[in-house]
Amino acid sequence: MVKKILFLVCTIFITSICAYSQSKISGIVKDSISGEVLVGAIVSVGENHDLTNNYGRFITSTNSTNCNIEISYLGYETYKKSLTINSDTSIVILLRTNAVKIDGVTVKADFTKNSLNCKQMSMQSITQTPTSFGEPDVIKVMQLQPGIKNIGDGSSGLFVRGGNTDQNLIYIDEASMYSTSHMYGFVSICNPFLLKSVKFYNSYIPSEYGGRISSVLDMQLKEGNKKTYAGSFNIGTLSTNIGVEGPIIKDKASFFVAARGGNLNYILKDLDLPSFNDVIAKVNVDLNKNNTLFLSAYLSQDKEIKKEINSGHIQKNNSFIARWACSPKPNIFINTSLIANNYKTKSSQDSILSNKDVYKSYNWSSGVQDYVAKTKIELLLNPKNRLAFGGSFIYHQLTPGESSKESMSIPNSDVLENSIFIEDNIYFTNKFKAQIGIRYMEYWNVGKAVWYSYDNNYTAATATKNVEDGGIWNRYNSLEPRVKLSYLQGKSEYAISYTRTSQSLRKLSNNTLAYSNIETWVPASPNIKPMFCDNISAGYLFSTNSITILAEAYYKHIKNQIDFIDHAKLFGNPHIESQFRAGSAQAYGFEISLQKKSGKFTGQASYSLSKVEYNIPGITNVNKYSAPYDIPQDFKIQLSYEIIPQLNVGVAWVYSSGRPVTTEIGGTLYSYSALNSGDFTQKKDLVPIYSERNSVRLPSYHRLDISCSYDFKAQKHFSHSVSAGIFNAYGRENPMYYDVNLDEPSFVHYSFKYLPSLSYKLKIF
Amino acid sequence: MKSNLIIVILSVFLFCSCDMYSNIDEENIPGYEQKVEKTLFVQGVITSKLEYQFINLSTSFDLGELPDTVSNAVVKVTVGDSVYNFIESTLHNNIPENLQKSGLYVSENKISGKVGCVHTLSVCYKGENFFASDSMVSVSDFNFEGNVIPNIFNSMGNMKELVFGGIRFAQEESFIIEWEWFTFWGVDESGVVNKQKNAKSYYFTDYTSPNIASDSEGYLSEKAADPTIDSMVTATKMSISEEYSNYLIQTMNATLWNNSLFSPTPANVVSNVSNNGLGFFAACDVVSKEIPYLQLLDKAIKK
Repeated sequence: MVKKILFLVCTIFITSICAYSQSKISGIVKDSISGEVLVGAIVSVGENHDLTNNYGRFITSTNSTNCNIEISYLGYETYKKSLTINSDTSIVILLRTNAVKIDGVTVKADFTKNSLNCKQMSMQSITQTPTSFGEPDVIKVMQLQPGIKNIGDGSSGLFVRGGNTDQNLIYIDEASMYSTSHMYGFVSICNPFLLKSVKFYNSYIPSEYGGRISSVLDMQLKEGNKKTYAGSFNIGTLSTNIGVEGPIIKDKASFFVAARGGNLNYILKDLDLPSFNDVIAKVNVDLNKNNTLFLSAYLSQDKEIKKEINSGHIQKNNSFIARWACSPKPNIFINTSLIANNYKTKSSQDSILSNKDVYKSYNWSSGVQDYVAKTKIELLLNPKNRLAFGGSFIYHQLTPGESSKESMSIPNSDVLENSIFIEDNIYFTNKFKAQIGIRYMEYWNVGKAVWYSYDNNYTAATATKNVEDGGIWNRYNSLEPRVKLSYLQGKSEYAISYTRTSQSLRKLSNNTLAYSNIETWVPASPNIKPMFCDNISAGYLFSTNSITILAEAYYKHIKNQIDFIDHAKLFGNPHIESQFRAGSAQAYGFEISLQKKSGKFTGQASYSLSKVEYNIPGITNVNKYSAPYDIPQDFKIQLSYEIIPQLNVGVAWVYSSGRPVTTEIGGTLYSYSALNSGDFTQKKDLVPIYSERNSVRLPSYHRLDISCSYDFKAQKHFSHSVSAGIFNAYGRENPMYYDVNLDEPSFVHYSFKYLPSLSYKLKIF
Repeated sequence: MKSNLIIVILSVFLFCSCDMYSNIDEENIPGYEQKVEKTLFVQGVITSKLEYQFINLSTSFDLGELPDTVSNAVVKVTVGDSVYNFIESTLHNNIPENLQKSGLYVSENKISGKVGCVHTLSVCYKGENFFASDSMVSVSDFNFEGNVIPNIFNSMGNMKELVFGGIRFAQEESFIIEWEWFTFWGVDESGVVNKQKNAKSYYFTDYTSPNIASDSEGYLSEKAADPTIDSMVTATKMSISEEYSNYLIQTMNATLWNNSLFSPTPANVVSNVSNNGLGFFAACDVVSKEIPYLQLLDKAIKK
């Protein structure tokens, strides 16, 4: 059977290569000013369309000797030219930037380049979408897309189609990020002014991506101007950032360096807010016509110090990436990367006596260190067939929880994640297209380790095992077929897809609070199996130059989903694996969105209807219950109106159902002062009686944001603009959490309302 | 000047926007519409010391309500072959008036529990029967050394005082120490008046603290000991069973450390009362020792 399938695949593959007799047009698309390649530009030749790949390359074809080529990219003037083709042709196309406008229109998050599995955004679309605090933020922009939920203002978590926040693979220049936020979620980790492209996959996930089960957010950084020096300065309510770029050797090598720091901790000194800063630096060198070397570094730090009690919390995220892109032939691309990644959080407190409370010193830290080697080879076999294959080795060193008290430390753990993949992107006919891929993954627990085995009741470790030899002491594997079939008819696309994904690492965090900076990552082990996800989706896309309509339905089944038991102790608990149970989760839903992209009046509206349920024995009296991020309905609308070419106003309204919580529904009175004294007349404490897990819903969430921006007249060497906005303009009181008291009034804590923002941007060129 | 004004206005707005909370009526709390099943809540301890023993009965209640008074219940405790009747304190002749209250049941006579025996509480209330059992674990001897010595509080210059109470984890055994002492209350016609006070220290074998910030220390309500200088301090060590230890930790999670950064998953406190009852009936072996305040202070300083 396997032989027959292999024979069939090979036949299709060889036939598609040999049968192709049209003239090929290949090329590269670059920015005319900076010389940077443009990723995801649309290349159209007659009825054939293609997107430039990660190296700005494309390949398409034509039957006739005379043809029209059209290349469009957000923020750039559309390139149109008639070509005479006698044989295979290779061209270099330089697109001219169109500053802020395209055809007199301010473009919002533009998904015109979407197919039904990949949403792409440029830096321009991100920076123009209004978000909280008025500062552009890629994660916040993603939260405005259909099917992506968040559970509170300021939160930087992405809950994608029934997946938890740890189930998203988030890349910055191929380095995996374990935390998406600064300042507990108010600011996301990536400086939006440095992004070249953003790709987001949530239904069909190409087989080159693995290790997370719900979605992929692949962010690529700018490379730096290869022709002239330029700079930028932005200051806003949340942050200040400054960037410089320029050629090291003109047209050969360039650099980019940018730094960002938080402002709120200076403006609101009394609130003891955390400070943050990050630095991104990148150098790229064209070694020769076919080889380019990229070196980039991402360094970020969050620091919170509470002076009164001498406590502190530090979060660090450092990544170093070396990437070699090689194109030995115009249609062959080899990308090889070496990455070192270090994510660490540390909480500490000095031993002090204050107000008759005694604080003992403690130190608690957790983190993940990754060492990655990976390669991908992409062959543009012909305009109708692209083949990609490759593999990766990732060595994870996990520190789930190191405490100053040894008995409270969780044993460290090392995991080796090996994978290989192959994927073919093929047009069987002009209308029928398929993406077929397969990924094979191995998860190995390796190195010296201590692990515990548990009895059937999970109540206690029955044995402790020490692995001293340092070899492979536990392994899992996963074979992940992925397929997407598309039918193209004019401006419409119909598609169905199936994706299997797996995930070894899980994030554990205190999810009872709206904001928490305490989290730890743990690997699969003999006690916890990796998660496996089967995702089926079907969708319809209609896209013209002025509107896009997208409708998609999905069903997702996750095996080995975990949830915490009652009274689970997550921190300082060496037996942390006994604190949760595994079962399954299922999610299904329907999403629809409408986008208007041209004219003075633009916007996007979306609606999603979904359900996420856990089925985990041992957690509740009933087997099925709502996931904590089960938000059945959400409706989002963003509108923008250009009053004059320089002045733009926008509004965004967001509505979502309340999220499920476990909350107090009653209580009993307990007296600490009475023990054997019999004195029950003293003050008593309320011991809450809780609802069933996640059986109560918070009130629905909604808010209106207003923003406006003004672009000053551009000068010869600089341009500048100012923007202002109000977050939650009608002051909706969206509850974050409730403080239920017995002998005092109960309180509800709200998230932000009437939150103003002001920012100024300066660009020097 | 203008830019300063903008910063000030922005700061005021931001400050007002960031931290908002307001009083809320119970009926507006999500989950208010879910009603709890009204049931018996037990808080009672039988000790090995011959004395009047106390069991407090009340009920669970919905948000915005108060517990019912549990009067006219039939309360008995069985220790081995012996059955002891408890009567409501308001009807008891030997209980001081200031301790009397409805729902508090007191043994008819002074009784004591027995080490190694299962102690069973039975309550018949409004036609329903509730039972709860706990085994009395033998208490080990102790001295005022090591972790049993309270901490020193040094608040005003070099003036030191002992701080009683506290919760310590990862101990070799689980137990409670109840501290009793006299503090200076005031002066009346009869002269100097001292008032008896007490506090508790909890020691758990549990390896991890629910609240990492109070890794090994964390203090309950009565923080300042403030004993009179010539006072004797009485320490009573009480043994606790593993089930009672879990109950106490879960109760602390639900009351003292609720909604903190390191809080465990919120959940109902596990009870040993049958028939969906709540609370815990415990049996504790006790041993008491006395030490002069100044001597205890000296040991604490040396620690």
